Amino acid sequence: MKRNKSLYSVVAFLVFVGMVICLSTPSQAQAEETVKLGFIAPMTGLFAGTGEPMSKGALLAVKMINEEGGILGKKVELFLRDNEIRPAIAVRMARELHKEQGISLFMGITSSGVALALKPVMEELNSLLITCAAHSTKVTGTEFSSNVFRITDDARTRNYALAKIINEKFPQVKRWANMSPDYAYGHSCWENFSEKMKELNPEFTVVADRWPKFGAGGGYGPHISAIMQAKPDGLYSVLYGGDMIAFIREAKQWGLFDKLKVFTTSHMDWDIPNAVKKGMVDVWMSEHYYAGAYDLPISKKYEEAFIKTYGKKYFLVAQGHGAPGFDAVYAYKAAIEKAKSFKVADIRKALEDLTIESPLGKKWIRGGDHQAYFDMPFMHIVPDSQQEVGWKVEWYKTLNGKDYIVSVEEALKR
Amino acid sequence: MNGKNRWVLSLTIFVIAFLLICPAFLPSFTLYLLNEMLIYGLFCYGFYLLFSHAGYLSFGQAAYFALGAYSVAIMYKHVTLNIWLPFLTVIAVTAIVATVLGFLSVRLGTLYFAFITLAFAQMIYAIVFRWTSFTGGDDGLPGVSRGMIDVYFLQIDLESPIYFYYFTLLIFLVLVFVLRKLVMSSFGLTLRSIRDNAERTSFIGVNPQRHLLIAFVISAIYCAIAGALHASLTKMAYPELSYWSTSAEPIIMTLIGGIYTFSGPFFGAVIYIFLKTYLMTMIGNWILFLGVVLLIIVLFFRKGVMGFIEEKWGVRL
Amino acid sequence: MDPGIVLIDLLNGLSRGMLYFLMASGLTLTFSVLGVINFAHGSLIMLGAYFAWTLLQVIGGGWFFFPIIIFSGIIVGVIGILIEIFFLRRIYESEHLYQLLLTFALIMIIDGLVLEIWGGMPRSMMLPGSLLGAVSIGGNFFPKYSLFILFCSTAVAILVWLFLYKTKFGKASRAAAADVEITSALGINVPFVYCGMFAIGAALAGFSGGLGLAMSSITPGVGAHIAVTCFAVIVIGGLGSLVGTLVAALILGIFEAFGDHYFPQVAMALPFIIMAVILLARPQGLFGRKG
Repeated sequence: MKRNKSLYSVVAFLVFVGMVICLSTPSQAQAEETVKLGFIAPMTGLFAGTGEPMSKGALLAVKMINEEGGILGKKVELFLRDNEIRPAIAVRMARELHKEQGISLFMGITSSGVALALKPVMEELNSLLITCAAHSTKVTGTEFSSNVFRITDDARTRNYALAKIINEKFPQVKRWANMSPDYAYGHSCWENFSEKMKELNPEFTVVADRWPKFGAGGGYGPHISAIMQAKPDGLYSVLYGGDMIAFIREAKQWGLFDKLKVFTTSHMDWDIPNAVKKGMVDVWMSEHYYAGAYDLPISKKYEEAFIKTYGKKYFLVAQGHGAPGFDAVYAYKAAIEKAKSFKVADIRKALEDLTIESPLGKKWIRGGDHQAYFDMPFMHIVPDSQQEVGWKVEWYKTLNGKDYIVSVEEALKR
Repeated sequence: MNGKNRWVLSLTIFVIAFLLICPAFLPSFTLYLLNEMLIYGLFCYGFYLLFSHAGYLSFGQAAYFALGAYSVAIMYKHVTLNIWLPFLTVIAVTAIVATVLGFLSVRLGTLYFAFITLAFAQMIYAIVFRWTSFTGGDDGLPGVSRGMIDVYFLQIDLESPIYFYYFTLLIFLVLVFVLRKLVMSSFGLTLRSIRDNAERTSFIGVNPQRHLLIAFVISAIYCAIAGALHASLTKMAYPELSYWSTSAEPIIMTLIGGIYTFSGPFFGAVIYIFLKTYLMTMIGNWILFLGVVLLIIVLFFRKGVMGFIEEKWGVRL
Repeated sequence: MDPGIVLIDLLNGLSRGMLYFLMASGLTLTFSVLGVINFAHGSLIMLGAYFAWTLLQVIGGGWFFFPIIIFSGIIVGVIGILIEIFFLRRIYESEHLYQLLLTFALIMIIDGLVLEIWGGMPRSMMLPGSLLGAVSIGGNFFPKYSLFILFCSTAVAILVWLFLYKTKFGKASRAAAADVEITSALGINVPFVYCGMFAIGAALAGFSGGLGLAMSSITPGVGAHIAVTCFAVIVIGGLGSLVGTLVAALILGIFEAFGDHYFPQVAMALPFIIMAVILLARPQGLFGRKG
């Protein structure tokens, strides 16, 4: 009897040890056979709407590359991990992918906070990260790391360009209100926009400055009421996701948009007008990508392949976040082919001052700050009851980031 | 000491020995996970003292976890990398805050206590979130150092994962040992007596409020040290550390391990982190799966894994 | 301060407050009769919103909106029945901790299912034309839909009161809330009352979700945010007191409306500050019973 019990205890303990050994099994598939890339983004929770399409873009790129023969003859494998937009989980996932799968090339990330959190981890693991969103200038500015790159535009470049457009179209609008999410990204965008606006038009005045909590998802009545009281002519807002949907719907109810001459944002995900539909308002905006603005063969290829794989309806919504995911994979491909090597140090060197072909045209990754500069799309959306979706893009233009570039020294200061 | 207890003792020694030598053969990610398990284990022990022995369910231990994390992050960044002062700060700050908040909370009785701990934790979350200049706001404080030990002739940089692991292990073993002594002492006995019937306990001359307050502060300190270690391990501090969902984790972990079993908190942390990490990597929708697991445990395995083993084999773990 | 704007803020507060009441009322009823604090309440609210969205997509908008939000409430009520029968029943006798953890598990399961079925993208509901736009109040504008929320919540509140005080089931529930043993001894089928009451609480949650989120957006995980506010409300009002829930909800709504407008820095912590103050000064809440 006693011996049996002891035996059970030993068995139980061995199970425990076995569990630990399972955890320690090194990656079965040899790293030499395939090129492994790690993708980390929120796929659950409030901001799953940004991570999901990004992952689809990346998967599409992997599929296309593999069909064309892979990278230097090797097939590409993409490993997706959810981080619930929490930095600690992103860190854990990065380590897991690095250890379990031998991955040193990462991409994804929608939140600047997470990008900043991953920076020391990338340096510790001698890995690279290409962020596909995360616009805060800090990522390639004050928190610059030789291991982190950004394949999409940053808050400054896009907002400077946006300010130029708005100033051209609406030179008489001087009284502005701002309603943006209270965190680094929101502040970074508004700072850059208002700075450039002031430079272009010294009479630019801020009459209302509201900072709702990021992710509140609604209940903006008091903010809207305060803005209306200030009687602005222009409104700027970088709320996104569910926040922007709620804001548009609520503000429309209040009649805010009827009182404005211009409503603008430096980033409006396509899922927002597609969700709001007939409730859409007049807005001057930008996104990661707009199919209508690009006519290159590679743009068509991206669009067709995306629609074929995921459907047209999904493309309309996901084309934006899908593009940087797509581009990041191609960036690694281009870098590896340029360096003719899979070593991290070589890939890093190759990525610096690399120009890649993207659905948005040529993207140039500056060596000094690891920031990509390219033709950014700007659109003017107007409500249109004739359209089934309730709105249409009435005007678009692309502006190249290089025209709004600051010197590397300047960039690293922000 | 009878046969079974001897087995428990040998197993305990085996586990500790394993924890001591494993860096030699474990791959770095597993070591990282194990490190996290030790840290969360400490967090759970903080919760465990307060709940299982004092009978007070706190929804806001995450507040101290966050306090510990931010204290260490700020001290390392602005004052010194030598661990002594930062950790002393963690203990001091936590002791002060916990004494004040604990004094206010403990008078309320178990149910309202739970709510007020939640309220305080959310308030600390809001403060941390909004006080951007000091705490980095929503971005948090990235790039937290792992510190270094600098005493007399000994200088060890804790950046290395193995050194940091031993650092965590040492703190863990010491604190768990202290907790064990505490729980087995007359103080522990008094706490459990208060838990079972506070009124009667007061009849024998004990001041329940004072004992509960002491337990609360000790619990908070454990949670804060865990938080400090967590900030160093993950190299960041961020507001979500004080959110109620972080408070829920030690509760779930301790339940899985065994809420009335001494080894429960640690093994609960081990199982939960193991499950969650592997679920997240294997299944897209891990939330659903984890919910089902929790449901099964609540309905059928109340006593948790270690509690179940305890019962079946008649030992005390 | 412009009195017109103050009025608008006040109306905002009332509308929001009444919505909070509607959302929290299910929680109060569940606690007072069953003695269980349902942490998954926020998830049920969110579920109601998602069901309403799907029904609107399938059936179309227009005046169908009204029956749809009621119907989505009923669907969640039915789900509530299933939850009560299969899960809640087992833990009435258990410690609070297990009740908490069970409902916590339910949160994860419901959130997981929502993610599985509806995916991660945020959703938006189409309001009927009659409720779009704003009305002019004293020279300022106020959204029609916010008035609608105010009106609906008040109507439902009255219905709930009538139900509790004028129907046999309602009286049985109140009796069970007061003293289960005697109620059972009087021949009332207590398990049936429990089940029904939970279902009603769930239905209220579902309905409030559809009603409340129609003007904003529906995202996965929004349930957790709402739940925390509901707890603040019931604690401030007093656990188990419906009148308390109403008063607390209105106070919170109004404080938040003015807070967001004039003191945005504090707004985030406001519900919890009030909650802590109440717990310290008068732990049983404004209208709760002592002990």
